[in-house]
Amino acid sequence: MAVVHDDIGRRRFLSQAVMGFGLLFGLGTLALRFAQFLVPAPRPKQVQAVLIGTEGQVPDGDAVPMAIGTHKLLVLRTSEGVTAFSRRCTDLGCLVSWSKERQQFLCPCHRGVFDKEGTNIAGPPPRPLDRYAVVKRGDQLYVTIEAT
Amino acid sequence: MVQLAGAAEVEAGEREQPRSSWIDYIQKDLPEHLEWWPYTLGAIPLMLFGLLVISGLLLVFYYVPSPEKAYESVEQITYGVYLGWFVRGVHKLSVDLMILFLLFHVIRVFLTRAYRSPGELKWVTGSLGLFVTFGLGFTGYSLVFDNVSYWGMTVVTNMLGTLPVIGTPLLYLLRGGEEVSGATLLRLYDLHTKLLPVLLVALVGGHILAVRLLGFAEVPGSRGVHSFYPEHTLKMGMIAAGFLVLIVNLVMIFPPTLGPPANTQEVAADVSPPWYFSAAYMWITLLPGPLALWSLLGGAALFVAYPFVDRALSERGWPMAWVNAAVAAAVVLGFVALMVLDVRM
Amino acid sequence: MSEDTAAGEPSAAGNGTLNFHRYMIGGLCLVLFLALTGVGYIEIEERRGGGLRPFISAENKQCIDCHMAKDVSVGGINDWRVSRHAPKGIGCVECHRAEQGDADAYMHEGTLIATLVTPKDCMRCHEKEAKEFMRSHHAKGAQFTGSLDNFLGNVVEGPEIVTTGCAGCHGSIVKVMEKGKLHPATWPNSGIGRVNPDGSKGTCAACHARHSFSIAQARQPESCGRCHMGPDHPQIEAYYESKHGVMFTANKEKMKLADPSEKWHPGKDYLYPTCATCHMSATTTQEVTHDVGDRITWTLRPVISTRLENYEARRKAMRQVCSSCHSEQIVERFFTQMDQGITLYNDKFGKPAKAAMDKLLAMKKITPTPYDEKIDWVFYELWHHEGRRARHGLSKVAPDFVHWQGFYEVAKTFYTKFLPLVRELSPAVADELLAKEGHQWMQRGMSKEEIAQMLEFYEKEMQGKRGGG
Repeated sequence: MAVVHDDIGRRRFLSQAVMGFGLLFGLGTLALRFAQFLVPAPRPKQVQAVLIGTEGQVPDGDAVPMAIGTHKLLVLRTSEGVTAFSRRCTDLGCLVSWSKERQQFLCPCHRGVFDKEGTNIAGPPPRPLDRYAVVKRGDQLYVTIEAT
Repeated sequence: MVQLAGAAEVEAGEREQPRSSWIDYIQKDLPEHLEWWPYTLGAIPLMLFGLLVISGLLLVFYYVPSPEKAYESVEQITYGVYLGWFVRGVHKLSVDLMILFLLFHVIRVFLTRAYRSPGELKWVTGSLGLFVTFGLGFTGYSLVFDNVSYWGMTVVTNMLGTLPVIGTPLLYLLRGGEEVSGATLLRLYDLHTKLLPVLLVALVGGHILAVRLLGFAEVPGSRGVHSFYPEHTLKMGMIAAGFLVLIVNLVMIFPPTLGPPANTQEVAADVSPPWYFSAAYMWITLLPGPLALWSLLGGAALFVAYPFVDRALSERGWPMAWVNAAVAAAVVLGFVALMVLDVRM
Repeated sequence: MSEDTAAGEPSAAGNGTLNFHRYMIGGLCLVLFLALTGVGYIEIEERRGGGLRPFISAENKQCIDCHMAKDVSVGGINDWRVSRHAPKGIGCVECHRAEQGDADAYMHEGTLIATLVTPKDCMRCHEKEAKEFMRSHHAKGAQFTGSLDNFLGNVVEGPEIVTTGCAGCHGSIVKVMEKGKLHPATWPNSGIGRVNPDGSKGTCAACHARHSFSIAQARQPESCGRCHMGPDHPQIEAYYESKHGVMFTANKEKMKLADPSEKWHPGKDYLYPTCATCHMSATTTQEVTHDVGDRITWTLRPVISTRLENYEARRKAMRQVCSSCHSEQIVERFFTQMDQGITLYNDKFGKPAKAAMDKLLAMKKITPTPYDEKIDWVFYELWHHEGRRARHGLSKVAPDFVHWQGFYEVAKTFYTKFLPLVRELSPAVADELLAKEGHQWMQRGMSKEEIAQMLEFYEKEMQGKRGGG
């Protein structure tokens, strides 16, 4: 006749449960601290208007490449006026370039194509090129970017 | 072997094939004495080594091994990076504790003569592992590139350079040139983060394997057995948890600090190596150059080969238990005396 | 009670131990969790507080606990807590401990200490700075016992104010009474040239105020301006008038005043100079010097300014600092302007006035006792106050101090006060006084052309209105 040994089983379960919780909290928090150590906190960003030139300095039909801080732009005269496009391809982030002959933005990584208004017309890019806000003060053009 | 009635019946009668699980591969019956406190000392350095590897891997994300940036990066870690002081503190404290408990472990093994035949390999792998650990300690604190680091690496490589035949090539090898330079720091960094840890893992692995395969020396008074899993592992787990708590608390109360950056033009008056090199440092200070170095090397060789010395002497009837006790006492007292002398001076 | 135990399974008794171990692991890990929460808390507190926690040794803990309990100098201790000494474990005992035989040592609650912490004590860790300081002019600050100024303070005014007045900047000679107590007529005092009982001169706390000893505070112009101010040497007023001072005031938050000297180079790490920048601090090619005279060419102190010993090297060092931000063109022209201005003062006013006073003394027209006649005071202020103001204005490019508060007043005193007094005593000496070309305008007046030009100016530019109309 088998004797039911609930006591032993229950005690073991309880001690294993306590151990499990302890390990979870203790080692889990340790792992969390190590992870906090590794992942640097994002730095607060400030919006800044940066002077990029005068209206007259933007040639017709050609895009002027610029690098402001870590941002890379192409400034082009479009139907809406002078526009600052982000060179970050909306597909996977490669750098787009302007082709004067084709009057298009081309991305070499996966052959994405944007027209001269920045609209995506061929290849994998899912949406048009991002733009930076352009502010005009008199003859001067300013681009608003986020900087740390 | 404690057996109860039911089990015997099962064994004698229909032999049920026990379910083979991964536990069976690591399972072993351990003699009773392994539960006694002095015999658990070996597991502690192992656990601390694991902590050192993890904290070291984390530090590597921020440390820069170039002379211009090294000190600054350590300063950044200690005072700038989020919880940097904590990770560095854990790393530093674990080194001190690991070496301390390694020494305790060595003393225990020495006093109980656990290296006796057929267990010499355990001692050899273990003693080499001890030296590699010292090497890791030295290369580690050299990376901070403060005054102690710079002058420490200069003096130690100089000393090694005085050895005949291999001295000069060894000096060039460690320094990456004739003088202490950026190449030196990079090499010590590579030693500390790549070569020596791999070597230590191999030696410790060999050590544990040797213990596993060659078994334990007889200990009077140890009669029963207990299983590796879950008894021994749980006990070791408990000790490990205790050490974690101890280390985290100590790091909170005594966070790591930083000495002044290396002044390559002038040796500061207060440069002295960490406590575990204190005795060797005083030994070199007190004895004339070649004598000090050769006696250290000779002592180290004797240390590694000790099981064979023990065997030879016991065959001649020497009471090795007493000899070891006397030798251990003398060495420990000498070590402590030299350390006290270093502090005083 | 029979149990089924497979090989390797523990017995009931063993189970109890196992359970215990599991509870222990769980419990210890929960304690670990609490400890790690504490770690996180400390990190956040430190980020908020912006400082590191002090490391307090057992010895220092005794000092701190008792002082806090008795509410004595609690402010000083809290100041220390935010110092850079505190996290390094440099506390009370490390600075205040004394040796047997020290003049000002006394037993205090079981430890031999001294109230005064002198450059000799600071030198234990800051040897270079202390040595440089002690060979500087600052360290000689208290050595004016034989001077006219000392006569002025001690005799003409009164000895009771010498410690708080003159010695407040220059430094007193500290006297020790019994039991290590310091004489009230000589201490408290943190004058820069204080003569300490242990023979050292000066106190680092004159600039690096205790107990925070902050480098950011020492670099603030106000730290120097505590003494380098006033009618007789308005360095800080002139600095704040100058463009350097204006830029500094406007951009104080960008100054990174607390950065270590290896990371605090003008032109690179910060752009607006303070007193420290030019006179002491490190540049990309020079190290910090605590000898404030290292880069000074002229002494603007005496009646007649002279160039210091080895001035070429000092001028070179100063020019290198200027070059950290300015072009060679600007640097060269500034020094030309300054040197010319100082030479003007020397040649037109300083030397003639001194020569006149020497002659009058030789002729026994004035007594040798200083400050007993009006002319003594007029001459004194001419060179000691107005003349110095002019010269300091020149060195700091402070226009108002060069002109209105400087040369204007020099000229006014020279012509309207000093000259008449000299003439009263000896017309011959007065004539010699005006011998130089620069004084000829008094005899000559303006030429017809000059008058015509000036009238034309007022007609054209000022619409006929004359000054005062």
